[in-house]
Amino acid sequence: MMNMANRIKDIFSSWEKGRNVLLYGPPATGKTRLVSELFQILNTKTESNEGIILDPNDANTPFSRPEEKLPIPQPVKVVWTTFHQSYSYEDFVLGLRPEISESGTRLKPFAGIFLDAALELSDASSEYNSVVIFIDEINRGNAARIFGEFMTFLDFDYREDGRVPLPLPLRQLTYTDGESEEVYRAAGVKAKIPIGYTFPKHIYIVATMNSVDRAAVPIDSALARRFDRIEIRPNPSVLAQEWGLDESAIPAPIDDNWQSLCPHETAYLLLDRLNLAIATDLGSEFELGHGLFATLTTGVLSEDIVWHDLAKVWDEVIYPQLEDRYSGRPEQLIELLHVDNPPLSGSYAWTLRTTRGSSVQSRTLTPVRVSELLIEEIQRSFRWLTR
Amino acid sequence: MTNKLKIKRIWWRSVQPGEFYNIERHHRIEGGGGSLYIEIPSSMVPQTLDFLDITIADFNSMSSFQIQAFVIGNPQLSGPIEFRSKAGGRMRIANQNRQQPSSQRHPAWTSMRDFPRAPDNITNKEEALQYFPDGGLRIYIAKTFEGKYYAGFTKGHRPSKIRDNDPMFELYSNKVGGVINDEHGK
Repeated sequence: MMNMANRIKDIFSSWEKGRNVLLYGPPATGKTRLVSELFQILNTKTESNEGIILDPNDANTPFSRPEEKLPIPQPVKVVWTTFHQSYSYEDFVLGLRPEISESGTRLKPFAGIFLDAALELSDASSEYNSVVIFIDEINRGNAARIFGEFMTFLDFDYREDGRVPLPLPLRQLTYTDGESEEVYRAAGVKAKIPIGYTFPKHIYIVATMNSVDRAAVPIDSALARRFDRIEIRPNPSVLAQEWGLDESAIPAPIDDNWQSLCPHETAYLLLDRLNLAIATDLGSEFELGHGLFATLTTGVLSEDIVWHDLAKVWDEVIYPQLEDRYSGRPEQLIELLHVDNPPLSGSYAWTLRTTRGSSVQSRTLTPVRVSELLIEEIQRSFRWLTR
Repeated sequence: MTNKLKIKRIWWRSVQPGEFYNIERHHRIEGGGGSLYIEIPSSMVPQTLDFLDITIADFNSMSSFQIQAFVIGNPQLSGPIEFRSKAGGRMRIANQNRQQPSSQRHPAWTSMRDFPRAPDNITNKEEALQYFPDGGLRIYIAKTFEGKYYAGFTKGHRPSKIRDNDPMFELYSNKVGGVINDEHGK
């Protein structure tokens, strides 16, 4: 949680320096959660993480945090979008749509999200003083196509009050008497853009990108250098806090204690070990997010329920992700699962496959649904896997 | 708003059921005395002394260290809180049994303020347990930047609406105790 507060501080610090932010990390590390937390902070009066205020007359909730001071002018308009392969310049900057009238069909200009944000802040009747645009999955769109010449205005230097403010280069519009034709905005509002109009300062972008996608869908380099990159890493401490585990009391699994690990300790250690192996074998951007384990039940009397939860999460979420990451590297996966080095006694979930009636083993894994095994085997297998 | 104060740190300690019995029961019971104080375990001593802004050497050179703390919920009232050393590197908040003649139970930690109370004649911890709040009991002392102290307590489970950056969050923890700084997570 501390992590989340620090990351929000990092975002604010980038904004203060006039930089947009790219949140980058494996899935299930809390990127979207961080964005929604930020969304809440921007939309409501939120308590800061610093300072304690005491109301000495209030015995029930005497302490509180002072109100958060935002580094950008309020009120803030918040806009959310997700990039995808069909996302275009017309959606983000300016599109032309046909308007049918008695005199025929005309193409009318419609502002996309980015231009609309600029026009919002230039509208004297607007209640907003800054706009924040959240872009999910920024690497999944074609950046050069989506931003077009507006890539330049991601850079605060070229905006109003910047070092070299540049006029907006919208040649698609027709201009008369020093201003453009009417541009249609969201909610039916229209605006005209004066010649020489400069892009307003207080438009900030927070984008997210899944690091596991990096190889398949790399981010455009011109786009990447216009963002401060904040890495969101898997954080097992979040799980420890959620599960009420004292991290300092979680033992390192050794010969003497591995068989007595509780399911939550096992899950915590499992994430830690798998991520070290993944980081070594494939790179840290391929690690598993802590959120993958977040569905484990807490506060139940029977540990068996939690072991079954862990087995189910393994079967349905963790193992498929491991298979994807280790695709083409079967030996490394076999080693990761300790298949050649199982516990000294008792059955173990992961084995090498044999043909029916033969004991000759191939170097491939036997398909297994761990959640369908006996509870003792589930416990033994996961506990052993922490080592 | 004018009454609100800026707090530098909050010291807190979880009161165990056995301690609750000891500070509620008759001070002289059959079969021996026992402790009439709230203990501060050795693991909490360095941060407690730091909270009080006193060095271990200075603390050991005096018989006790006393602060005056106002009552949260009724800040016109105040009372002393006396810290003493104890064997084994521990400390105690002295004279907290409410029935002892020299009782210094702080007014913030009395049934007048809704602090849990067990009958005067209870004879063992098990009996006291039924008066001990489900979810726990913690006492705390807040210190302002000006060095003034304010005392209070929490009881029961943590209300679900409390966010984790709220200073009240840790005051419903099941840990032994600690010190909450004015910056979340530090």
